[in-house]
Amino acid sequence: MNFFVRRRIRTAGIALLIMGILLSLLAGGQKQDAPSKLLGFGFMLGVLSLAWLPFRRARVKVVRHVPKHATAGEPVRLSYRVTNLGRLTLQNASLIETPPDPRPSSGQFARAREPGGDKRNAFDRLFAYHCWTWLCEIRTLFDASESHRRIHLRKGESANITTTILPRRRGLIELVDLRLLLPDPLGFYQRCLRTHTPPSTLVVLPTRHPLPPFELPGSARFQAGGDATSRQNGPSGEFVSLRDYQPGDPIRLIHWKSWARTGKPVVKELEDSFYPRHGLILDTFPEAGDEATFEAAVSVAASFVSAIDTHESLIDLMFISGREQVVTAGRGTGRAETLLEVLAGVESSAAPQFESLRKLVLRHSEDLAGCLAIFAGWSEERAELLARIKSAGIQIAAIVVCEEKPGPLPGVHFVSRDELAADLMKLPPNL
Amino acid sequence: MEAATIQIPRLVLGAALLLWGGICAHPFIGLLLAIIVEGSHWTQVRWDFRSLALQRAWQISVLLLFLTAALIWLGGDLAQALPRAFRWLPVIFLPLQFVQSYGIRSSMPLTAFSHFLRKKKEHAKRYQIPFREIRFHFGFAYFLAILLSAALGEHASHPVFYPTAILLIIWVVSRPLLSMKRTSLIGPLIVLPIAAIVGFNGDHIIDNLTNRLVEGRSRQNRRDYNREVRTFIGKLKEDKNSPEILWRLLPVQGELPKLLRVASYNAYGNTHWRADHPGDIGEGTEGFTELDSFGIENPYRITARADAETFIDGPTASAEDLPRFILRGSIDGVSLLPLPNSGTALVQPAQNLEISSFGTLRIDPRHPVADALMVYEPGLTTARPPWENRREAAREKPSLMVPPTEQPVLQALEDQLQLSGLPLDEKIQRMREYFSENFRYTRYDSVEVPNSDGGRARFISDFLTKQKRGHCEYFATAAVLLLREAGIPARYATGFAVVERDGNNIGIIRGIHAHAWAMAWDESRKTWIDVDVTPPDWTGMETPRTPPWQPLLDRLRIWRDNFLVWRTHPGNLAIAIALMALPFLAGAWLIGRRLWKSRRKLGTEGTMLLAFDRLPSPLQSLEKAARRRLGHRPESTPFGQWLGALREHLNEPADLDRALALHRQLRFDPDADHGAITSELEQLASRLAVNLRALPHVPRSKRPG
Repeated sequence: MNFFVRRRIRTAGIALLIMGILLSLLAGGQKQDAPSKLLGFGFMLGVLSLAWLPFRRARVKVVRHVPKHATAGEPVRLSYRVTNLGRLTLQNASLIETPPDPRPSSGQFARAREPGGDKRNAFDRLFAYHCWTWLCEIRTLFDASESHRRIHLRKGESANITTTILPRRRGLIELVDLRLLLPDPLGFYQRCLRTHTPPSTLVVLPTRHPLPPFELPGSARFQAGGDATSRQNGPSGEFVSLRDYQPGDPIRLIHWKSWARTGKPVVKELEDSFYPRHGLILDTFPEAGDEATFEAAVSVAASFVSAIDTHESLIDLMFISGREQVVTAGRGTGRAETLLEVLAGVESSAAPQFESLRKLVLRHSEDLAGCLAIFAGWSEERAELLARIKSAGIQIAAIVVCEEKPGPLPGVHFVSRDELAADLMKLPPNL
Repeated sequence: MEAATIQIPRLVLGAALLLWGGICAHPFIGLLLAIIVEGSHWTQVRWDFRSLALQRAWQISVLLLFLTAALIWLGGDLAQALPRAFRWLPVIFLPLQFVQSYGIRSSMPLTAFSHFLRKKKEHAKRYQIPFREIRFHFGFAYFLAILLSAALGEHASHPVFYPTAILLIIWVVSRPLLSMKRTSLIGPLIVLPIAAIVGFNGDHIIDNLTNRLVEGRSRQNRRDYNREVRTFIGKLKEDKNSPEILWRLLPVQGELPKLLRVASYNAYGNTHWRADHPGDIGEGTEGFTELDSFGIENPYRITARADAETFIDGPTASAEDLPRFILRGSIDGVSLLPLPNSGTALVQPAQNLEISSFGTLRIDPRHPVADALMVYEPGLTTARPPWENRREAAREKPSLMVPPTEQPVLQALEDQLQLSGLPLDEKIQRMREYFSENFRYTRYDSVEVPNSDGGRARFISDFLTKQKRGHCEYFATAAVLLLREAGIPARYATGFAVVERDGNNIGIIRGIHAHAWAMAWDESRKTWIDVDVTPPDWTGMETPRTPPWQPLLDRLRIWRDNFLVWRTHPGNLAIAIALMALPFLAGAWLIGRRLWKSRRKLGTEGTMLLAFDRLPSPLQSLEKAARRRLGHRPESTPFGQWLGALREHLNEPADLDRALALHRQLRFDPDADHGAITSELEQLASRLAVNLRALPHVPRSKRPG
């Protein structure tokens, strides 16, 4: 209802309504005519503006152009090609995207625990209005604003229009409801017509923060890089010499010119490149209701993914989300964007599975030069996980996102959830 | 980063404030406000008002609103205190508009105005919940507040107001309108004139609609309902629903009277009572004549005027042995004053005091609270005896008229009670017994007055024969008509019953004590006597309407009335003003001092310069004198560098060089002995000032810059 009204009554209309109520209250029962005159004027403005709305009609074709990625908390500009299919000139209109209905289902509402809700008074806890608004707020995927300029199109004319949306959180946004706004002449109210625009999808990456220069644990231990393991990359590595073909050599290493010259198969001998391979462990087991900390942890992970040079190293992103998941990016295997897209969709797990996470890390321990763990909070289980991975001979450092920082621990860097950007910039060079 | 917000057009607020000043009869205040508000466009002084400053501005505005309402309440206008305070909204909201005009931010957050929103924001920040901050330009709210206040102003009915207000509104919306394409302007050009024309007649339309929807009948002239001229059964409802204290009777000598009459009427028809005066009455007088000096014709009136302010009867009427009390209560403009039927003298400062032939007293008060010493003498009356209606051929006495539609039932009842031939006292006694035994008092308005003409014409007959229950107006009307049927001239009186006393034996009169009764002419004693046949349990049935918080309201009311009476005593007004003005002035001084210290200067490109935050240096005292020789200091030129140009003008520049060196040391050397430097600089500055004064004058046109 609130959303419906806000889409149809503009700011000037709200001011008109407030003024009307005030005038009615103050002028009611008084022997003064001036408030009644102003009330009459305002009332007529409102009535005429409302009466004008049914005559505001439009038939348009809109094609939406959406960028591939957006970032949570950063405005993204969408462009449209609008064509007036109506018989009349389309004037003073604008476009706006509509986010999906954020209202939770009854089950979600029943299960929801508003952060800090237990500190509210009995009335608020009983009626749970704040819990409802909180759920609606966090479920709202983006804030939309009207197109930057008004649409004025003659019959059959087309124009490029842009709007801005502000994605609130990472994930996938389905743009399915684009509306054409047709205000009355004075801008008190407006019609809100649905356009038949094909749906589009926008991937919203997690928020990334700038990081100071850093060196991940175990950077000195090099691993065979992606060149030798990648089939798609073609011949790779540095050329050393030519030698006779031996059974088992890959066909693609045959040096055809030398074979032609010598009459026997000759292959190129390459020295394979070695790159450090790092594990990025993401803790997906936040405390119940502490989604904000989990989001901050994802954001920290995304910041590291963006900052690590994937041309010179490999990253294995490891986490538990329903099942054990490992995604690798780096030279020859995939771009960092792949990891960001994975992080955009990562969900927290309902039950903590630190043991599974430990086994997952240990399974890849042979390949890893070192690990960086991003924890959503700090607990005994996390400390134990860290100790057990260390005891397995893996160099590991941890970044712990928490509300209040505990005392310092070796190899563990605490960052405050509320001061994330500032605390990340204070990280030491050797993690 | 603050999003760009739409600004209100320049000068529109100033124009609106001038309109407000003119309409509310405060032109100088309006002009002053306009200069303050629009002055921001011509000055570079700005403040960096943050959220806390905004909250403080809002709190000051709210405080001012309640102070204004309290002052108006103390001034006597109880019911309209808040609406009348709204007339001062431009002054009340000035702190907020000041923050908007002189602050560096173009909008205000809504959170500054609501404690709950601030809490919500804090909660959201703490728990990382998204919070949508609403920001707006306060100029628009201020503009609407000005228009609202002006519409409530004293001269808002002036023909200039409405068109000017419409022009101002169009001015405000002109910027978005002018940015539209020409074809889009058709809509506004159609809508605005129609709305303006309809709005011009809005008062009539709304009045008619209200009357039709709410009252179920078309509008009637408000003057028709003036209580001194006319009333109808059901009219007392306005008073009857109010448990507020209206009057207090402070006993001075003797017993308090049982009934206080406000008005009386002599002509009845179809549930309406009206005052039919002897002969023609002057236009606009409603039958009232100004009370005269001594020697008023006996024995029907109060009073005489002893001096310019005091109304008092002659020596007999105000003899010291007569019972008396003080009547204390609020008066809202020209009003009727309740008084006992046998009132003889009154001492009350007033602009004017009038009395009608019915003995109804009308006062144009000098003060918002009446504090009248009322003297009365049982057996006398303030009303003239019944008279003949000279305008009608029959020359009948209106006080004896009985409507033909009611007469058969009244005659039958008169026969039944065998009133004919009985002395007046016995007639009254028999009537009282009859009504007491056969009728039942019901709470006010529980038995409704019929709507149809036929029903109203036989209203009393139905009451006497069928209903046999009702409230005081029914009993009073029936008693008057029955007395008339029995040959006794009678009138219908409305006023108050004195039935409640507090612990100090002070009579308390509330709205629920409003009452109606009959007055009968006692020919033998040549006086009107009160005849109240309403069953005596009526007060018990009306009293439970008092809400639980009424004692607190009563106490407030009593304090206020006592304070206002105290204030009217000579010399007390000055004390009251001083007591109220001192905190206000102290607050204004504190705010002004903080503003002076925190002021900033707006740079040429709208940036804030910390021009006033420099360390004070005695050398700055030379700036004015140096300006006479060097012209204004160019922006961005350091003070020392600019002052150094005086070298070529001075005969001994060594002092200047030394002073400039010390000035730099004072400002930039953290280890310097500031006390010693300041002392030496002061000496150098005074010597340099003398030298500068000794130099020949340079005309303004020849100064650099």
